[in-house]
Amino acid sequence: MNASKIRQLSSNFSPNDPLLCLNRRQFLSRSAMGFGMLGLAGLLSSEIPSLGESPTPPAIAFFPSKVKRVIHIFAQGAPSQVDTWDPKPALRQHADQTLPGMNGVAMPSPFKFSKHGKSGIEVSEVFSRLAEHVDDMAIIRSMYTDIPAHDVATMFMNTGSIRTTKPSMGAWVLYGLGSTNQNMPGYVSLRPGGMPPGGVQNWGSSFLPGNFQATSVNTKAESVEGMLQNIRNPYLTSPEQRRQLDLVQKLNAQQTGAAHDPQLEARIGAFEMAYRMQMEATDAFDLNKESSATRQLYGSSAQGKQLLLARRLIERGVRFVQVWAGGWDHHEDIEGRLPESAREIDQPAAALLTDLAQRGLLESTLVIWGGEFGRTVTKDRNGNDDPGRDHNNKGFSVWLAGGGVKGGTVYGATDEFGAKAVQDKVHIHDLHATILHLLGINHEKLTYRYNGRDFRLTDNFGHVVKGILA
Amino acid sequence: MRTLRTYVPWLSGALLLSGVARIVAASASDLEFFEKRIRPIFSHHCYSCHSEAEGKVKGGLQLDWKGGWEKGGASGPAIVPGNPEGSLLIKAVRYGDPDLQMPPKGERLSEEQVKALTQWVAMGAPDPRSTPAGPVAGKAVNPKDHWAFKPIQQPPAPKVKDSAWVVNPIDAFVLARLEENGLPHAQKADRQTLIRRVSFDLIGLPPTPEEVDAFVADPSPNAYEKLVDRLLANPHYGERWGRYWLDVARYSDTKGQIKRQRESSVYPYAWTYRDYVLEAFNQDKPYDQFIREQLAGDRLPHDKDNKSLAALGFLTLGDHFNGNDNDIINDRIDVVTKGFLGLTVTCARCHDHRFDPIPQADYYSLHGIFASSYEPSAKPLVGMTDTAGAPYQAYLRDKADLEAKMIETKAAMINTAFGDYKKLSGVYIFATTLPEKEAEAYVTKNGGDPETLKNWQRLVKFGAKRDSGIFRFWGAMQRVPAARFADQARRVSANLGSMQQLPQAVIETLRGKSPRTLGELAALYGQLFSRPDAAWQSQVTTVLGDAAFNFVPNKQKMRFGILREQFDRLDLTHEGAPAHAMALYDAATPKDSPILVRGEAANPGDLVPRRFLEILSPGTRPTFQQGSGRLQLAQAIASPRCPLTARVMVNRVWQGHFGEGFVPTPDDLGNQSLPPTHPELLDWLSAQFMQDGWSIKKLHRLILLSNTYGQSSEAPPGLGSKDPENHWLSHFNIRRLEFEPLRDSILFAGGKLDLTLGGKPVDLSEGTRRSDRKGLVKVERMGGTAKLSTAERRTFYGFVDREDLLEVLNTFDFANPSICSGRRYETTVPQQALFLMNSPLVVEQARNVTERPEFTALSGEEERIRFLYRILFQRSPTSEETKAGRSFLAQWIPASDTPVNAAPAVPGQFKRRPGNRQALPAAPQAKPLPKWAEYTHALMMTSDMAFAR
Repeated sequence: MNASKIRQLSSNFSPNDPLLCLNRRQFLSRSAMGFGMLGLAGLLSSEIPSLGESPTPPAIAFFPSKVKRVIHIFAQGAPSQVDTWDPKPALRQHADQTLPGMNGVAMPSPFKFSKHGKSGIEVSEVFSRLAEHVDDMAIIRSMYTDIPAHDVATMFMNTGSIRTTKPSMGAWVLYGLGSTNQNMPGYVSLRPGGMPPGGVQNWGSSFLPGNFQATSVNTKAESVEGMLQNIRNPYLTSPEQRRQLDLVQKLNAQQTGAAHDPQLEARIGAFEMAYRMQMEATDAFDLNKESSATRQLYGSSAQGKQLLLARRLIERGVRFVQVWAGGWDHHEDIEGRLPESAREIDQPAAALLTDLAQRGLLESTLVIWGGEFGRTVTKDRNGNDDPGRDHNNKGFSVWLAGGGVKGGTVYGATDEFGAKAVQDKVHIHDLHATILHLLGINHEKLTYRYNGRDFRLTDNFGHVVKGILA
Repeated sequence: MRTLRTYVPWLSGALLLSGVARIVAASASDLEFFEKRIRPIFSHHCYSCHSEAEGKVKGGLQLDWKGGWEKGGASGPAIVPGNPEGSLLIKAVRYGDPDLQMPPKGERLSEEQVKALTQWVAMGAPDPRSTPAGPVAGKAVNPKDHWAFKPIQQPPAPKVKDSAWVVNPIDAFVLARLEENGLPHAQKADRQTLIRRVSFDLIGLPPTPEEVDAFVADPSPNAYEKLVDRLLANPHYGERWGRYWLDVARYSDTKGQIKRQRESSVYPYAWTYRDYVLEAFNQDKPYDQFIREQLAGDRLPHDKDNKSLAALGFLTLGDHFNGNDNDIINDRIDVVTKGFLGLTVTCARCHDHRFDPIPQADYYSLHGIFASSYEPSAKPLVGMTDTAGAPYQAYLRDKADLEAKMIETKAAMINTAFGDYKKLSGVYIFATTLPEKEAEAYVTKNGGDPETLKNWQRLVKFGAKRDSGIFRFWGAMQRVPAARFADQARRVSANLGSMQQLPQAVIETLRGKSPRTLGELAALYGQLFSRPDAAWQSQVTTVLGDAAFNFVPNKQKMRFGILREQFDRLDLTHEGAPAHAMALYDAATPKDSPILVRGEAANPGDLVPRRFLEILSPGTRPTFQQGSGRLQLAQAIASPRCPLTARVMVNRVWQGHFGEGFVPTPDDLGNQSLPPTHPELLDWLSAQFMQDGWSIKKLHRLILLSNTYGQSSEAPPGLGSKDPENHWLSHFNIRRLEFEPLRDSILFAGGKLDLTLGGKPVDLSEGTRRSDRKGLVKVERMGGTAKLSTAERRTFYGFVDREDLLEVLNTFDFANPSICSGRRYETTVPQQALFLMNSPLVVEQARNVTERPEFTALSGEEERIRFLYRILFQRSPTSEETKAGRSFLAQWIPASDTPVNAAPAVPGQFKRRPGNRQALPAAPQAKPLPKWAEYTHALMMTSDMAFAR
């Protein structure tokens, strides 16, 4: 553990925080609240609190890294790899023929691929704007996962677990690194209305303390007050409300007494966060504060709005932003529908990379795009005349860009037709291990002791994909 | 290299012992090395091909136990302990020999893993796995042997040491586990705590202070029993427990995914199902009957009031999936199998279930049942309507007005649209035969536009297939070669109208004509569409129907959509609108469904008979011949012979009382689920439930009267950090109130909760804000006729819009109304706090509490504080709490007089930054809060308000 990092992280802790007016030791010993601000890395800087069922603080979990935060664009629905990031000309030669070991007949991509950037990586025409950024991206073409069902695989990508509910990746990151702005939640999940398969467990904290779960925001509303309902109090001024909350927390503390009930403690933390959010969150979510040039760069679509919000959030020290950008389940009419889905994210995501670079934030931000699995290279016959593609867990592509990522990289490969990862295969656990590594976290060491066992995001698995590291 | 250093010290020892390693029991550190480094490699990279439990033993080699690699496979023993160089396994993982590479196909292990395996073999390969990999905790090797598929027996209650604690067999089963694990149990909860707990548990509302006093003071030995019986008989019980069932039934008042051109977004009668559920719980309808009615109420004898027909809403109020029949059927299979059987049968839509013994054929056996059922367009009435009454008459008038407006608007829109294209229909129709690019050029040249052409293409395609037959002639001629065109055209046109009813105008214009080319035929169609006669003009609207609707510009279409939305919503909102059942009937000619290969509609395979799931049909498995077979399906499920039905419901009820079921996934008790914490108790209760005539209230009673339920939520001393999830129930789980009881109890405290039972849904958005929604039809925009009531009813009656769920419901973890959800996952987020801190709904209730006459009659500060504690938390304040309250009140400054830069009330606790006031933007000014209201509001925000202990 690097000493300057320790100092830097612990400086995020404000001794003037109104939390129950506890002294530092008492404060830290309340696991749920102490960690939210500090993160494990920050806690290690001085005294190790006694936490009952607690993490075993492993100093060796952390090492210096330039990367401070993550924007995870989740392309829910499972985008087709061979129509986006993984060109397979062989499909054209075998069009409408059966392929060995596969059902149905081969369907070549209806889209053109062309080379881009200095790296000359081939990208589908559906991502014409993102293609301009290939030199900043590492594209993993050899992803695979366990089960090709949306709900299970979506949860798996976000939590590394299929059978039981486990903490989400963002929760682990926040647990590890803490938040850098006490007026904002450290982990925010943006969704354009509705609920994804698997629901809130996709950004939950499971057995980690409750304040590591994401604050989920429905971005469909047009106003700040619509997105963050009840963000203003029509009755009281800020100091008056503080006084009122002091009473609330005092009474809570009297009731809770010595018992450490994680639910109760998480709730106390949520009130403090809510109070502080009133100072800063309205500003963070107010896109009118952006210049019209910036707003134009991102575009006025739902994803343009979400990614611009994501940038405003990470600028304010939010550690992990999960952005739901779905609509990729193209069982039919892939030719007509996939470009529509791509259009929704192409310009906004390209704008995000441009914008981050211009602001000097790209070096310290990790941007990830990808879905929960891939699609078959054969036709899904539900589409009849307008075929689409079926689910496929054996091969798909994701890309990473920004801090610590070796830009202009293609890593791994699928077979001749794009159906199955065969070379340098990357499992979900490996991707998770790599993301944590990029943030300066050893995925094998970031553990949390629960129910008598040390848990980690990558379970017993995961290898860092060194080939994409800068 | 840190890892290497850590195990070097004992590695040397192991090497010395290598020769005798097999007979030396593995040391603790050896085992730790195996568990940490080796087992994960085996289980992740090898078991899938080398374990019988996982289904494959390639090359005869088993790597899931010690005996497996000792014996080895076709090539001999895989490992020679102590000798890595001589071990085939090491050779294989090193990938040095092109003929022996494992894991195969490039899934090569990392260097570290190979090194670890080598070290392990060098150590003598200490391996604790003395038997082949069995089931992963509770998982059967053969999925058919899974515990939940076994018949339910009622096991005898176990013997326990502390038999005095046992008031009924539940306690014996629970205590046996506690004793086994060396865990204590908690004290009895005190009466104040207990009455608050059991009231929220059964009716979702707190007791009044008077009820608390009476219970606390009741000297009779069966005081608690009387309380439980009183609450079970309370009609608000059905609102609490009915809501759990509505989560399972994915209840919503809207259709979800729809084609807005075709239908409105609402289910105006979904609430009749909600009220059916309410009554079923209140009447303690036997659960087996409850199942039968929800699946086949139409096939059962029912009263004239049709109430049991409303039960079919269980099947029919799912998402509409844009009208895709297979998706709708899939949703029905899903809710039936998860809801009643705790099985994820829909996993077998495309292939055999991967984990449970449910072949794909079983899915299509159920598919046939639902494919042979239909929703009548005229829905049967529920209950009696006063047809002479003024409200009903007013409703009829409003409905007729709206209908007339719709007809008028539609006709006008289509007329306008056709008026525009009248001249050009020949051009457009001809263009539909041309390749895309040419067609566009052609219509542009002739004064049309490519966008309109798209509509024509759809119209021709649609019309050519439909019964209206207007385009039949056209359809028949499209692919005829030029040489035979004239002959063929003469033949077709001579017969035109003999096979199907065609409008007179069509026959007059087209019959007997013999165009020589498609162009000439197109010209004839041009003439047809430009006919000016009124009869034809009105037919255009009705005959072409929806297809013609495509011609209408979107803005106008939206106007029509709003009218249709209003038309349907009138049934939902008008006080005189009669209630209807969302019924389902059997088709006249039921049919078996084919297996759809890979789930593809275009890929039908063999027909499968309609019948029950194979795994749940031991012995005989009759095919379902009565109508669709829904009734027979219902009977098969609602049977003591079905091993899942009772277990699933008992697990749900247990979860409702304790917050956690025996199995944590209430909608999946299959092979993927965790084993039950108390399997014997689950079976004992399931058997008892059936013996008690499937009475849910008797089940509640049994559970509520147990000592297990009556425990304090304070962990007993001596528990320490053991069992942090409280699997063994050493104490009661503190329960966070869901949104419904939380909101209801806040309104209840304010004295404003309207406790009316049943009826049409109400709008919950007051005091919260709807997410603003672009473009779509909004209730607010549809004029005054379609407003939902905003009465302060219980949350149970709130309008549920699955397509745009109120954000406050999302914020408070409401169940996803599109999928069967047996449990809600709790989140704790700042938005929940913001709702309690800032929402006028909450703050105004605080004000209301302090305006209650019982409150204003009190003058002393302590008395008032005590009153507030009793009304909000059903207990008296501690002296510390009173002190805190008094100090808050003493330091209170009227809001309007607070200077901007006033010092914080409690100095030093909150370091205010300059400009804080600016940072919190001014919200619209509200009526200032008096000090008692502000204090009461603070109490409403405490954890006491949000939890039942």
